[in-house]
Amino acid sequence: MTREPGAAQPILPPPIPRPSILRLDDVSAGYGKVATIRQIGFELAPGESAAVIGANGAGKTSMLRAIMGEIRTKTGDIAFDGVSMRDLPTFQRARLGIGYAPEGRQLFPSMSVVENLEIGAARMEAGARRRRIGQMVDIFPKLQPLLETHCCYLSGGEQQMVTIARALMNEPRLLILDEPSTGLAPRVISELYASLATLLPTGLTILVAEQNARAALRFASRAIVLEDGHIVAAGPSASLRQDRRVVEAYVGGLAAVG
Amino acid sequence: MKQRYGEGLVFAAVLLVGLAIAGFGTGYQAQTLFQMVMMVLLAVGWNVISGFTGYVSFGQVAFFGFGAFAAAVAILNLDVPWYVAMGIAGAAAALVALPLGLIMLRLSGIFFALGMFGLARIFQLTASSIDITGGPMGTTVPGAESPNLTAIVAIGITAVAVAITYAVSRSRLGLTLMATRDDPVAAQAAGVDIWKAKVIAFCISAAFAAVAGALYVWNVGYLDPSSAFAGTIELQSVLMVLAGGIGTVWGPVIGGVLVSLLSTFLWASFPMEQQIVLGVLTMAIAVFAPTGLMGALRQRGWIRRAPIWGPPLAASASPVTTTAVPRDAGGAPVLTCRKLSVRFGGVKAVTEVDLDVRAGEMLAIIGPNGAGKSSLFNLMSNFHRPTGGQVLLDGQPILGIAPFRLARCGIARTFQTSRLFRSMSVWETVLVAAASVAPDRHEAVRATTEILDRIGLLDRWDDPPDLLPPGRQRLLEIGRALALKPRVLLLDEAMAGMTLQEIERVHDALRAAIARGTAVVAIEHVLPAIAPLAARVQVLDFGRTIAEGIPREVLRDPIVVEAYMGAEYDA
Amino acid sequence: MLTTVATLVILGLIWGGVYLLMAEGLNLIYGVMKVVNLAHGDFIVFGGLLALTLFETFGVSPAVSFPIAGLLIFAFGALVQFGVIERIGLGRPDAELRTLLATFGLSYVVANTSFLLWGSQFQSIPFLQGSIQLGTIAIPEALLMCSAIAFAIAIVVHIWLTHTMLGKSVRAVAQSGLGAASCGLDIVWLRILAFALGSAMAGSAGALLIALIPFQTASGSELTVQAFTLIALGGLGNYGGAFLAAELLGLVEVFTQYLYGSNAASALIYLVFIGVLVCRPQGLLGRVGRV
Repeated sequence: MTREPGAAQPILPPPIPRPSILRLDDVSAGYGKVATIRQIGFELAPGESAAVIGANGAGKTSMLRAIMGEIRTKTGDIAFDGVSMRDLPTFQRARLGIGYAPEGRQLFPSMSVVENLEIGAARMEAGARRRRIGQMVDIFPKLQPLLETHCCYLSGGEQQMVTIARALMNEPRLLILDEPSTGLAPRVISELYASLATLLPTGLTILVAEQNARAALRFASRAIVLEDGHIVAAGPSASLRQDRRVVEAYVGGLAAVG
Repeated sequence: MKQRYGEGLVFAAVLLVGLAIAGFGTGYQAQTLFQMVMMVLLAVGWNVISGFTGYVSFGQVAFFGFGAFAAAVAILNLDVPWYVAMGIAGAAAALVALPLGLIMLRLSGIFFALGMFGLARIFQLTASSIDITGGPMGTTVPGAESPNLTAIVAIGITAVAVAITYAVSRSRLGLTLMATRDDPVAAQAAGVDIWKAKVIAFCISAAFAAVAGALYVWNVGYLDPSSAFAGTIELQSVLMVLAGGIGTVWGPVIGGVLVSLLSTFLWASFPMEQQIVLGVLTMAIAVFAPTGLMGALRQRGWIRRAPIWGPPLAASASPVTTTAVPRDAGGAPVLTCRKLSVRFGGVKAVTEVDLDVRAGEMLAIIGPNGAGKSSLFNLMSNFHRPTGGQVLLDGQPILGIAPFRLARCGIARTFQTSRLFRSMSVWETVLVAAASVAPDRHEAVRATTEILDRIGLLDRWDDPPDLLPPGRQRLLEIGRALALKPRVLLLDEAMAGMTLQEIERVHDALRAAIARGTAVVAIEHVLPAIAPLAARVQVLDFGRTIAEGIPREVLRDPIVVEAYMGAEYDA
Repeated sequence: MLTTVATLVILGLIWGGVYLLMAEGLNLIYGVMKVVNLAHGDFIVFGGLLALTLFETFGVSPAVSFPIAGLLIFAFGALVQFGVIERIGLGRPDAELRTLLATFGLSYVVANTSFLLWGSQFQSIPFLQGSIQLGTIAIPEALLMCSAIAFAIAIVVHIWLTHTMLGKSVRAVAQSGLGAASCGLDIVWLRILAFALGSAMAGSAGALLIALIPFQTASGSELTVQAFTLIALGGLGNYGGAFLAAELLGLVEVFTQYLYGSNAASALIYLVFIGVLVCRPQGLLGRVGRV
């Protein structure tokens, strides 16, 4: 399950029989001269839920940014639904059908919740957009009374719901979340992931980067563990939770000492 | 070393050629040369504030005009000779710049740039209402007899100004200015008095501009507000510095000569379109070559800035410091927090936190993201003001002590996200902190060498930090903090993203520091990175302490487990 | 005495409309890109002198020619954003400084171009010379007309920003570029639109302004500072604040000019400007929000 960084063989046996919705082939990317992720190979099947876990600075956010085209890939290729996204700017990747909730949420603070959601589907026909907002409220009922509130007055959990709802507005096939649990109380985190779990049966694929490994491994069926820009472990969440190396280095950091 | 003499030789040769033309050339040649040298002086001055300090000003002409009027008033009213008038102009400008700097330097970026522009207009309007200089119409002022004399004097003064900027750039002041420009917050944490540095730079820059203005009056023998405060003077000095290379010693000189030649040519051939060409050039350089000629040469590796106070001492010349005995290990706490609280807007980031740390011990602070750990550090290093409670260093409240002073008296810190000075080398990064506590240059160099040796970066002392792998960069930041010889070291997730080998390096450095009596407070998201060193651990969640004690026990505490692992911890 | 004061107050408030239009364009550009276009005042002057030419050649009054001036400057603004600002790469550490220097150069280019086309003398358009009597108070018709148009433009743009999808998208880019891009908005295009629109507002403001006060090609930088003072006073990117600041500055300007002359009035603007920046950098209505 684990490997030495730099080895060239594929990471994820066995191969996924269905066509993949997202595929990273030997991707290295980073800022300036420094590569923050190196040789990442990774595939996601439609309807799957997967987590990227690792410590601060391990390269989780870089990996998501590379997928969204916010940082340039130095080597390798990223394909969405079988088509390479090389050279596409972020907004076009979003239009292909990727909903993205970036690090730091990136809401529009002095716009209302409704307006934030509208921007999520700016090119949709007005009637359809209204119906879609209605569906979002069904998924996150807590947003109902807040629709006209400016986002800067919402609590962290509410803001995170808006971020996710906004990313879902354009009816994406793949939802990418960067650290949704940051700064949230444990109860709120569980609620958030419970809401996300209800989306999976609709066929949505979800990729979530988390420092909160416990929550992420409970939610996702599969996970990869990053360390220093490399994949150091990958596999079904259940088995990762048993993996001694993962437990020691990360999930059970506390337990390992105690 | 070779290159530094080379610079001096080339400059001396250029000076000699200039002096020859000024002395023996025709009146027209001398006049053209004077214009050029005067603009170089102005550019050199603009570079001190905008290049060295990073405060781009669009109102440097304020001090040029100020100098011109000060000199004119001195000559007309006090009947002093021209060289005294020049001295008065320079001194008066530096004096006026002191209070103005304290106000204007509170602004930054665009606000400072435009604020200075406004200041220039206020100066101009004020000058228009001075009666002795003829109000808005202007007046004649007794000028020099020949342009040859003014050219020689201008060359002499400008050479001195260039020498001063050279000396500044190689001095402690230059070091602190660079740090202030690159990252004012990190500079303060490295013990730099950023206010002192930038106000001094502002005054030097004003004095240069004012002397240029005085030279101008003396040369033309006439003074009116709209020419003395003309926008085209501003444009030219900005363009000169940009073309040559902003923030370098020689950039303004080279750019000044080139742009002067160009604008003299333009003025002769296309007087009406001169500003269009200069404006387009400014735009082009800002967009395509913001580092100018010097930057382009540096990028190709043809020239490079010599490291300040380098190179490190040879290993044998750097004796191991005698380990100071911990002053009161196990005794009274060095750093104490009492019911410390802070709220931002309506959000309570830290609530009534109590904390003690003693000399020669490490306290670990852990907690989930957003638990208030970094806010706590900002309070302990005076980067934020608490809304309640207090922080005591040796029993004395630290409230009101400027962060840089606190850094010098013993509280050093690192930052959660990397804050290195991007235009400084590894050597200078540590040196800036060492120099702020060392009594002299020799001691600063010795301490820097020792620290780089200890963190294993001595062989890369002359590299820019962004060439180091991320883990080494964090290590360098720890080195910078250690260079302050802190009594208390605050580490904010310092070991995130490090390889095991780097973590061991840090552990070694920390063990040594702890052994010498430093108290360490370390924030980490997860414990294993610091567990081997921490004597005690304190757990924060939602800004409150939820548990504390020795690691082993605290981590079994169900409250901690729940906070950390989420409500449904099921392992 | 009372009449004088009342006249000055009314004049000041009406002046506020013109100020508002002058500043809103800069506000839009700053709001979206955190870029201050130092050539903004020169755009105003250019637009004004363009209207002057239209008036002299075809006899078109500024009340008709302001959209034409606006449209031309719109195209020019789009070009500047696409060819210059966008090349600098917003978000890099030195971007602010470089855009500042680039637009600083631009301001000289535009001002010098105006100078080549129109010369350096003070010029104005004689427009609606009469005045409306309100009891004992006389209000120049031109001022009233121009102010009304200026208010109307400012309000239309405001409604566009708050009530149309495109306008909302522009605001979204302003508040979080990354957020907007991840929603599938083409932020490069939207930034060009915003810069062009802000420039167009400057051009229109110039066409109206030249009917009220004479100006010369060198007036540009002073107008830039006036416009910037106003949005700084109102809180950068804050449209309600800008309205309040415009009225306030209109009053201050009219009163100072009446009491101490025009030199004092312009010096005061700069003092207010520096004072506001130093003491209240978040503006009059500004507030520090979360997120």
